[in-house]
Amino acid sequence: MAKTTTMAEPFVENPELLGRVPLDLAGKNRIYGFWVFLAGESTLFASFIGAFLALRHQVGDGPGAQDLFSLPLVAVATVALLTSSLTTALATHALQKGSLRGVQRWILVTTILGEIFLGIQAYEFYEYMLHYGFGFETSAFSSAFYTLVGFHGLHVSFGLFWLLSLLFNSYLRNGISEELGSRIFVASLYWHFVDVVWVIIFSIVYLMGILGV
Amino acid sequence: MAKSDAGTKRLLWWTAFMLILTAIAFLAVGFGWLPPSPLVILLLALAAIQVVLQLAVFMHLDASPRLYAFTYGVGLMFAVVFAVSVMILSWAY
Repeated sequence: MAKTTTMAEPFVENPELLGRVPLDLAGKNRIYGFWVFLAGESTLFASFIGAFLALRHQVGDGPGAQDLFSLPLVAVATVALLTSSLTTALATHALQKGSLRGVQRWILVTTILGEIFLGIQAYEFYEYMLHYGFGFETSAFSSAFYTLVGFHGLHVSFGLFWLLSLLFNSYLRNGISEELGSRIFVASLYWHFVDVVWVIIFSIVYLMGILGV
Repeated sequence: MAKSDAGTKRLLWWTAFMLILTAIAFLAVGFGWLPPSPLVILLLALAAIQVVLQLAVFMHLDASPRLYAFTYGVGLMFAVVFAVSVMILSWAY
């Protein structure tokens, strides 16, 4: 039966190992399986990035990247998402220390930063569609752009729901079992992966787009 | 406790470093520090450094069992092959 902990009682004998070496076979398998999943996700995103790179100049009668993209807006979104990587890592650190409140606090901050990112992306898409007539079917460039960036946004949304459900679960139990602990670690891996993809997207899609190359 | 604080400091430093790399990328594009071709190389180099840092520092791939890194490495090789294949397939002249 999984142990449950509160602030006073850390749930691992050797907390420094958690997050690096899972405690049981199920935890190990969960984390290894997740790396296999991330390898598959990388392939999927790479395909979308490849399509975007091939189609980025096929704008037809629609606007191009230089007409659309706003550097300050993308910068704010990027800072929000990169900072959320730190807060997720701090949540994992709090997990290692067996600090329930620390885990809850940092997951909450992560979700707030994720919501800021999604809010900016929703505003960005709204602006493009309303003021520039840049819809999904406007051009090959628009299709490739919305598929890649929208798919990443969906991943962020999924990550948010995942983290919120873990947060809710920890409040409900008022503790973190070993199983929930490894689930939080896997969710943090997912969130960092979403950040990795964003680093590639803002470099290739936005910054190179603004340059016009 | 001291070890844990050192871990937190390490995370803060790496995050600050990544934010600085990001700032360099944005400022280089915003102020046109370089001609487009070298700037693209700089952007890709900065992105590559950040990806490696995310994988190593935040996702602990450097301290994980080698099987994890091997599996993900194989995935990345497929990712590159897929990206290049899709680029070739989608190329419009």
